Amino acid sequence: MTQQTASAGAGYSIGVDIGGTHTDMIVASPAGLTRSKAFTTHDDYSVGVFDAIDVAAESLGISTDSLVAECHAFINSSTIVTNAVTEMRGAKVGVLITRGFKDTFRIARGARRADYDDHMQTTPPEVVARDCIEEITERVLVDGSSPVALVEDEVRAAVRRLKDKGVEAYAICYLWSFNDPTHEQRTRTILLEEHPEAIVMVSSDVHPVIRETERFFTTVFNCLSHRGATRFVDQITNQLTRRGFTGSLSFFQGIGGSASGEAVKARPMTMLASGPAGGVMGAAALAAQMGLKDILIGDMGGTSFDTALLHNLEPAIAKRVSIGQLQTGVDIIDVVSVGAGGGSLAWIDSRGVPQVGPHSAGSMPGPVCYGRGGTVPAVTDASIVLGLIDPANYLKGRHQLDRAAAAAAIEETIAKPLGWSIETAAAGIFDLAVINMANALRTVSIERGYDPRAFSFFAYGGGLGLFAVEVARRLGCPNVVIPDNSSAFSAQGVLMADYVRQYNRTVNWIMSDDSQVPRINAILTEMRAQAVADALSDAVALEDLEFAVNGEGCFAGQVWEITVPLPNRPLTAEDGAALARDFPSVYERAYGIGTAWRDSPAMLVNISVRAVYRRPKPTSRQQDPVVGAPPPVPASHRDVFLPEERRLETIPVFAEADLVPGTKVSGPCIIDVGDTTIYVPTRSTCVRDRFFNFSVSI
Amino acid sequence: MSADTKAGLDIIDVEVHSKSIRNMANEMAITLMRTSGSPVVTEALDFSTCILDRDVEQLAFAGFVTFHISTAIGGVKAVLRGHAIEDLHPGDGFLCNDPHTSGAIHQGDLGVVMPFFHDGELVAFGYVNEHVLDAGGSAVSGFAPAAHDKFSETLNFNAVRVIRSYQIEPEWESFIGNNVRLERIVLNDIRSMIAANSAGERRLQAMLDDIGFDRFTELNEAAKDLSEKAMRNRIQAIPDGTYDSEDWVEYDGRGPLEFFNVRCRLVIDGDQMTIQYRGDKQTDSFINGAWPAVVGQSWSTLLSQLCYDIPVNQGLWRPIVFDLGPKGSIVNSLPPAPVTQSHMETGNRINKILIEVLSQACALSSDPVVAGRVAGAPCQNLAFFTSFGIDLRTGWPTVAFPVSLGQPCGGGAQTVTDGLDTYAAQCMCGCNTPDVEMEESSQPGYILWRRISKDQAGAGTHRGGMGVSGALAIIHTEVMTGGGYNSAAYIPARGASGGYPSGAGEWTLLTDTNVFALLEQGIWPTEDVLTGRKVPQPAKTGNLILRRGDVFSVINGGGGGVGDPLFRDPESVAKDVRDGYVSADVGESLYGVVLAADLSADVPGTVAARARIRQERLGAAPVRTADPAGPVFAPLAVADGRWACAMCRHDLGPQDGNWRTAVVTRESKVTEKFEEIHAQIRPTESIGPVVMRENFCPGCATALSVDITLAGREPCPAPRLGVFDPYLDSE
Repeated sequence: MTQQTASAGAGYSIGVDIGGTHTDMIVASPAGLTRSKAFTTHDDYSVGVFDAIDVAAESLGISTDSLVAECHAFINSSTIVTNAVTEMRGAKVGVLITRGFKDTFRIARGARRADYDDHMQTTPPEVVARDCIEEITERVLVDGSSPVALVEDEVRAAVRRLKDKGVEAYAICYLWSFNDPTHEQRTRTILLEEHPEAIVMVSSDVHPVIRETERFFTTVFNCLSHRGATRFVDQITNQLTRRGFTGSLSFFQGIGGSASGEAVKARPMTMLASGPAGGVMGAAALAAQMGLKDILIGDMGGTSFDTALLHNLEPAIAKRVSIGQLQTGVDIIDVVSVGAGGGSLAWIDSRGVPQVGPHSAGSMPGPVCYGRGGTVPAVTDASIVLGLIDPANYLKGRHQLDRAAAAAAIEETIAKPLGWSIETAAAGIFDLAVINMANALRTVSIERGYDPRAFSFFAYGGGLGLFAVEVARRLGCPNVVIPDNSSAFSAQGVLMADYVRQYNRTVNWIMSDDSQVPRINAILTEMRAQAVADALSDAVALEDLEFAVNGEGCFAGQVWEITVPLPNRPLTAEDGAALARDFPSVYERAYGIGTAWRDSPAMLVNISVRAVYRRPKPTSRQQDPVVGAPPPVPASHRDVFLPEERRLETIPVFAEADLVPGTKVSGPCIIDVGDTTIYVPTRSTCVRDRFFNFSVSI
Repeated sequence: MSADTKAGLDIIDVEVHSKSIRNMANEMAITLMRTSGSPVVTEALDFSTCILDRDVEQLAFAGFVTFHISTAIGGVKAVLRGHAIEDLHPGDGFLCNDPHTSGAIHQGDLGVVMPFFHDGELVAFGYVNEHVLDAGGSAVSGFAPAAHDKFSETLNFNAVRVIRSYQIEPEWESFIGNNVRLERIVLNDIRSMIAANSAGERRLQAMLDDIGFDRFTELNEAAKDLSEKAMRNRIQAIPDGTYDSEDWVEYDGRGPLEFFNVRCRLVIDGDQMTIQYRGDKQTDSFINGAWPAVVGQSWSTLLSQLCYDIPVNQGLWRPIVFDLGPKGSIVNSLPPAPVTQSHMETGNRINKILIEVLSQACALSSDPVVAGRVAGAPCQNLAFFTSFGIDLRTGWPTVAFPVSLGQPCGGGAQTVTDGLDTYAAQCMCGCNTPDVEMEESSQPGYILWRRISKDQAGAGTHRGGMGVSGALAIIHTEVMTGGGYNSAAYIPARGASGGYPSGAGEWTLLTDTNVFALLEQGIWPTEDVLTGRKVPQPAKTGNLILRRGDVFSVINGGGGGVGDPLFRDPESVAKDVRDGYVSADVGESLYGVVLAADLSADVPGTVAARARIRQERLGAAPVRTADPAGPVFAPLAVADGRWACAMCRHDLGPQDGNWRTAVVTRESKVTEKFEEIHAQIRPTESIGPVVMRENFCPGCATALSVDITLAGREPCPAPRLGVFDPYLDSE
């Protein structure tokens, strides 16, 4: 499917999002954006990627080879690292750790979940086999001194033992190593003498920040995911090169920008959650184009609903994310995921209250209507029973859905026990799905101090069009935007995003202490130099590189920090004094009058440097709205049990192609976009805007 | 949607509302976590937040520390006892930390009550409670092992208005600062509690702007009704009858060891539950229980074991009667009884015996969900110290409270999983074990080592969780004074349904060490090279003196097991042996698992060893075979008026008798038995031995129950199904 657009530069650029099931692709060309889709091929990801390229090339009417040859930028996001760490599958990892602390991974900073249920209190998974953890004599202290030297013979002996056990990747994990990395670096040298082909990750390189559990798990997860990440990067790189690709190839990061293959191979965890991050960056680009600044984002898939928030077009960052019970130091774009997808199951809890999710029917057996053995009704079953989805024409007729089976399951599980009609029960499931999504959106908005009534709701992913308007109504969001290319939005997003690298360091600086300014400046200089070196190796021109410097500060004695913007230049003693003076008011803005600590100096705990290169971006298709466009003719009519009103009505169904920019339709009605369906409820109107988005005012 | 609740409200509206209120309590919690400077709050999550309505009924609770569910009610009631409603103003805040007068768990856990106003009307109360690093008096950080009365323990705030217009009153600021060891941190933590309450008040005002007070009240009442109904349904699934357990609180802080008996009797009658506690006369040491800790620790168990899935509000309380018996006992003490360890001494024992009576009752339920809630007890020894001195690096006063050493004890085994390692106390939901780097930043020394304690988890089909052992060398202070604590040094945590008890905890003080000598030679003081003088210490002392170079080390116990260890998957035992968590000889003697040369389980060898163990248990070959698919976590059954072994159907006597009279019982001194299995326990020579009674089915030799009691003591009554026999000496 090709759409008219203006694009930056000649040739093509390609964005691809490799999911667990599908590989989605957007090709930007001077002629427009083209979207294509293929199945993900897990044994060799490049096969699925080339299948998608073939489809796109065919749509464009050119050969795959010329599409590849004329492509100047190719950007990937994928679930590969996310899957490796959530399933704990990957390289055989060995650990060298400070003597006395072998059980750090088992203790896992205390794996007790914040859940009353003792049945949920389970031992965390073993990321490293215990016989592959070796204690090494050495010690660095809180002040950076090292009273105990590294015993090099122990390192050699340990590496030989681990090598014999088949260890491929080593994590070097010493206490306080970010204060003095000498022992870790020396260990790395010895290790490579003993095991030259080994993968080695050093905790003070990977995450030079206080809190050893996070630093060590980050290092270990980088080891674990290294093999899969390398295989993936190499497959894509080699196949593209073989087919004549000469443009820039980059890989998307969970923090929201892309980096070179070599950079992500060195730190595979930067690719964690890159798919959802792509969607968020796509939303940012689209919002900028539309002149909007504050956006709530929702992406509904089969098993989960992902949400995020943009304030002033900036996404929130989730710091130090956990993989299950295991805490890492990795920062990613803050995407909250809840079990509220089309496959989420309906049930009745111990109080007799109906619930939806978090359990899901997944893709196997899937909802009851799929006829693959599911017996518990899912959200999709309710949509079928309500008439919102046409069972004969689901995904353009690729699936025949069984409405009767869906209705029977809803009757059995929900309607009968509560004494409700089947339609009322289906409407109840619809409502609960809406509530779960609205609650997730509250988590990223209200709970973080943002009022959703001032935000627009961007809703994408195949399933969300049915629910988006009701979700927005629950939150008081005035309007909903269902973007053009909604079903491949993450792939489009990676194409819209910038080159981003982020560097973090612990500095522990009492801001009023000007004697420390030279030390802080030396660290900043070092971090910038690293950013410049990385940019050069990623073929980014230095004049295009922008820096953003931030600190994380608290009152000395506190353990949680708030963000403090820093100037992008060497600091002066006056800067320190001003930062210290202003900190209490920054703090009270966050927590309220009267809450600033007294008699406790303001301290800058960490510094982060973010290097950004703002890529030229393709823009999506545009067309001036037709003033006074005549109302479109419905393609058909359908009987729908309106969930919000609990009554049956025959409502019009419009075909997407009939809605040119400027066209307006009023609810209740349905818009069929092919791979997604939009439900416009009573009292809402939907306008196709100049960017071909569906914009609904609630 | 159709009208489903008593008041005719939309059930889903009620659900949305109750989630919103819960979110408010969570937001208060997040604010506290992010603004506090106390590692006990930020790392160990030793705090809670609560919203109550004008009638002092709970609307929502964000308990990390679950026992605070009782203190919130006690605190607000204390405010209203001392102040007329018209005397409450926006921005007022009341300090509550006295278990006898203002609902606190112990004086170290300081509650701040703030009335919430909307358009000038009192609409609710906010409650925030955290462990502050000091509350003055002889208690360092709120624990006073040597005090004889509450007056010599700490400052005792009986709902005192210390805060007006969201600010600490200057005179109170001065007074508190003058009386606590860490003026700056304690006052700043009170400011953080104000911030947390303010966050809740702002959210509630926004909600009331939207829905109005009448609708708010109507939805609250409907939410309480729903929780009540769910709680009643859960209780209904427990068989009617009377269930008993007992245990002893330990105190050795002034010389001779004393045990104080505590008893629990649970009476289930339809959808109503009566929980009764009785105990020895109150004493003049800090172990006494008071209403907040006794009822609060009961909730720790109820929330974890029985009603883990029901939204917390006042509705949960309605089907339950708590009866603490006559005043003046260790479970219902009167002023001036000292109570600074109310929660971790009598409170912890309350918690363990309630787990035991619930496990007995759940095991007899025909409801699979309830039957699955049988559980071993967590260890909860909490062997740690608090002390006070001057930090040599800064010249500032400092309080040491190395949470990561004393807190991570093992959790009780569950029917679905082994117990969690580093579980801590049951009441500490979601707690962390602080990182070594965080401990070395805030504590006055170096963590020398920190490991999983070997052989301390209770054996079972599912074993208990494991605890941590570790050591702190005092480096940055010349001398510190304070207290050392251990709530379970002599009497271990029990298993359930034939699961075994766990090792108890222990702390050790090493003085005159070679720590600095080793460091000068570039050697780290690990266990194998560290030397010094081990000073004999009681388990609880108010006279702990830590000098520069001293080493305080701990071994934390594990949790109790569930189910006979002879039914444990042999490969799981082999893995524990390979990982160094269980000794090979223990794997063989307790679990009957024999290892092959490659340290995998030798299956035929294991079958033979287990047969031999069964024969040893009975003194003869068993006449019956345990059904391998039998209900291993509920090995006792009642059918046709008679007890039977559920694993082999062997008859165990009439239902109104104690099945223990019909089994083979093997009694051993815990100290001797634990020495064999390398588990930690303190000897009790001065007052006679603590004994372990293994009760085996005479038919198939399955361990039906492993009791821990005192030598010569009558066994506890068995469950009496269909009998309602509450204690009648209520206050």
